[in-house]
Amino acid sequence: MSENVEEFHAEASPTPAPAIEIKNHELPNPGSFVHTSDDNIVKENDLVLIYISKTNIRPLVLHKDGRMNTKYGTFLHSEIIGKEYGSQIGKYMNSNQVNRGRKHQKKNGVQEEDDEKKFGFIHVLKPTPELWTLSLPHRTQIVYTFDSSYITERMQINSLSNVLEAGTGSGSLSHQFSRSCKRLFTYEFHEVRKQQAELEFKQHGLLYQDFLDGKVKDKNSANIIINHRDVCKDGFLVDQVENINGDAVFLDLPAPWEAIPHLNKPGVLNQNKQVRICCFSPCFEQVDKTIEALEENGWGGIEMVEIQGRNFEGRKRMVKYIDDAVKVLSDQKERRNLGAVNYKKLKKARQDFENKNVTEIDESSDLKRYKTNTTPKDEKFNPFGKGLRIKEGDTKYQWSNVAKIESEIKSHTSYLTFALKIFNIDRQE
Amino acid sequence: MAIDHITHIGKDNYIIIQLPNDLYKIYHTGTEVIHLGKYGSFYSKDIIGYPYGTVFDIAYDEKNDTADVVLNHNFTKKSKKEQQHQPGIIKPRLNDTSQTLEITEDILVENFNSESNKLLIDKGSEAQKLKTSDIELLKKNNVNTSKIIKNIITNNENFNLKTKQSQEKYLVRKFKKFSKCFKVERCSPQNILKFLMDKNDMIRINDISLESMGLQLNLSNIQSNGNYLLMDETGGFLIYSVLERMYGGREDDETKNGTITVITETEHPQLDLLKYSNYSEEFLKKTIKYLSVMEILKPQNEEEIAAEFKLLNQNLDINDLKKIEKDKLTPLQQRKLNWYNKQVQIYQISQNFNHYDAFVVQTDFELKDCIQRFHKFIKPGCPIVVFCKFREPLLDLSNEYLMKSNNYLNVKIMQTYCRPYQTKRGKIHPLMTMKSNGGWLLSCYRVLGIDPSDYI
Repeated sequence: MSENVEEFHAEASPTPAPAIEIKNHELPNPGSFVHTSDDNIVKENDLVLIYISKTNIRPLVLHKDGRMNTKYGTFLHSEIIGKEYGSQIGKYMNSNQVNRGRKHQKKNGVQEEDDEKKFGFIHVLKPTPELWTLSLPHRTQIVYTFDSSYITERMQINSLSNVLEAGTGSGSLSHQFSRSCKRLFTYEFHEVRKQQAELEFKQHGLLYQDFLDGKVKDKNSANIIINHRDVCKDGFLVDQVENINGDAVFLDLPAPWEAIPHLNKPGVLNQNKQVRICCFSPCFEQVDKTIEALEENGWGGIEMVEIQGRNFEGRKRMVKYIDDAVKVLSDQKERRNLGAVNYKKLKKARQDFENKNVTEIDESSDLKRYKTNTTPKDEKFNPFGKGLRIKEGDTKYQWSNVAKIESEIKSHTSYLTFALKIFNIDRQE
Repeated sequence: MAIDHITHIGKDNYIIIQLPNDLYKIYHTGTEVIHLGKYGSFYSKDIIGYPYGTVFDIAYDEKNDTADVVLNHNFTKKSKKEQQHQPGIIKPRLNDTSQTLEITEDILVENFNSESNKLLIDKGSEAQKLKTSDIELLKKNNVNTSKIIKNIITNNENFNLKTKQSQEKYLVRKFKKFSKCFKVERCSPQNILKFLMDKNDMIRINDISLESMGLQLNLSNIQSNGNYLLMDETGGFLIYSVLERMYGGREDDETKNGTITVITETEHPQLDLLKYSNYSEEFLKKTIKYLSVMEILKPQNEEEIAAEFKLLNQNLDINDLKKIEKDKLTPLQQRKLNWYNKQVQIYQISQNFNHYDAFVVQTDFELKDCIQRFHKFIKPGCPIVVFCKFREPLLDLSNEYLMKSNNYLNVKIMQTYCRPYQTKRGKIHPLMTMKSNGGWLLSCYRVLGIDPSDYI
């Protein structure tokens, strides 16, 4: 069973891991994920996200003499430091960069456009958990924002909640939980993944231990406690705090039903209030076993749901009127008829020409004119830009607004099984 | 131990009560007796102090006095109402950790007695030998739920001929009708949403679904110490949801100091859903600032405010008023000074350019207008998240404005919906009906675009 699940995870990982430009030993300035104070200026040694394109967002720590290579050329870190967050940083690429890809086209005799300098740019952004989800190095299948936002909302996670997360994985959800909750207890049974995640949290200033050590000052943001643990065997209790007092549990495990009985131990969940659980499993059989375990352990209000999120992009569709097409056709017909008449005239003229036996060619003669009987290209009626390369939204043409769905959608991420429980009903006076 | 108002039912709080037929109702624990219609009534002091999420049963003394019943055999509306007015005795389900309003296992097991429906003939209501009046009589005598159900079943000719599944469905239906129990939930935004959905009042909150709300809040990157600019056309629901993420109901945490600024259409915005949030007046006043569109777009500077003050107060100079010591001010003077201070504060807020950590929008205004005029208040690099019931306005916003400008990045239009399943082991399937429109979202980041020509 568990093997199958691992396989599913491996297959479903759609995007390749992006190149990461943070060195392992580096510790950027803390508070990368916290809202900045009013100055909002990028400083040296800040962790920033460099937005190159929709699918290419790179985390980066800025150094005085650092360089970053992108497809738009090399940017110096010093160009970024001192700018405001959200700044666009651009440069003209030199011509050999622009024309690099076109050299073989030239050989084939394709006409080259003017050797125009191309403007390339990047944006520098402050990390947010959602942007991080798009840019992070994938160690496992990750939980995307559509799912994670619903989980947060449905489990009513707010700044007072203690959240337990088993399966840290790539840490995408951990960042989102950490942003919204009071304290996050996260468990990972894979030792290397745990170390990588811990380092990442450390670099982002999110580790609770760093707050205790005085390295990070903000108690509200440094709230993650990470443990190397197989919760299915060893349960949830940790050394760092005596009583976890959890309010919400998120289980992203191959066999959540093995972990559920461990939640009954005193000290794990808050015993005197309503607590919530969410199990994240891709397969139906897992859901079935999970429901069985939840019922056996006294959880109620069990509901399984599936989240379907879709991304759309605003695009333009050319408005083509039938009347215009009719006009094009009648225009063509007219020219064709004219051409036929001209051809006859041409034939006649050529005959005359041969009969006359003149050696010099008179440019202004009828012959020339009849030979090139076509109307110039730009005088032709061409309402849809046929034969021209048209950019979407070209102002010479008429467009309507359309929404285009992304070409590949995630039709199934996982089933989310929610449940509720109150351990003791104690009346407060 | 004092009552923790966030996790336990407190005095003078708004609560949501879930009934067995999945209806949600909002009540205030300050009222003496809470009436739940046919599900009975109870003294609200009896539930105070129990944790939210507790299921209570209402028990009545069973009447065995048949003579009394015969006398009152006319079931007019009035007599029904009289019955409601007698509060029953509240019993929380202490030994049940699951706390659901679903039918109890013992009622189910006791009553199953068939395997096949091959002999079933559909007779409609004739199959039931009990008349409506008989059932009303049982109800009036406060007969216990499982006994009523038993009675109905034994008098139903067809019940034994049904399949097990159909018997279960029948029992669940009867349980929903006759059981006297309810569940108390906190007035969290999530539960208010359920309440509104149930009341069919979703138009009030622009048809937003729980999943769209969650997505909007996540994309807006709500943190407990952020400052957020909001436009709320949902009667305070959006404000409450943001507040909930920031504070979670606790008012006295000094490390959290986030604020919300709301741009309103009118001078006195209608925020009736915010009252269910159980936050104190002072806290809301301290955390949320309201600015009308006029105040933010046509701000009066301090000189203009002073001039207006003079005009309104018979040539009284504000500086004269400021000179008077605080304890010597008359109440009238104090009021005037407060007015002045408030105007100055509004002016200061209207100058908060590049200040807010996110712009969260749910509005009826033309979206392009909103973004164009208010984007300068948002810190560069911070998200703008717009919710709209329909896709087309977002599309126009994206194509006609955001994509044409170089001041916005990563423009995305999103839709999310949650597909609920019937979650009974062996009978898992998607529910036959679900909500069709939970709205659309557009998210982008405000950035500082540059002009390529400056770079040559």
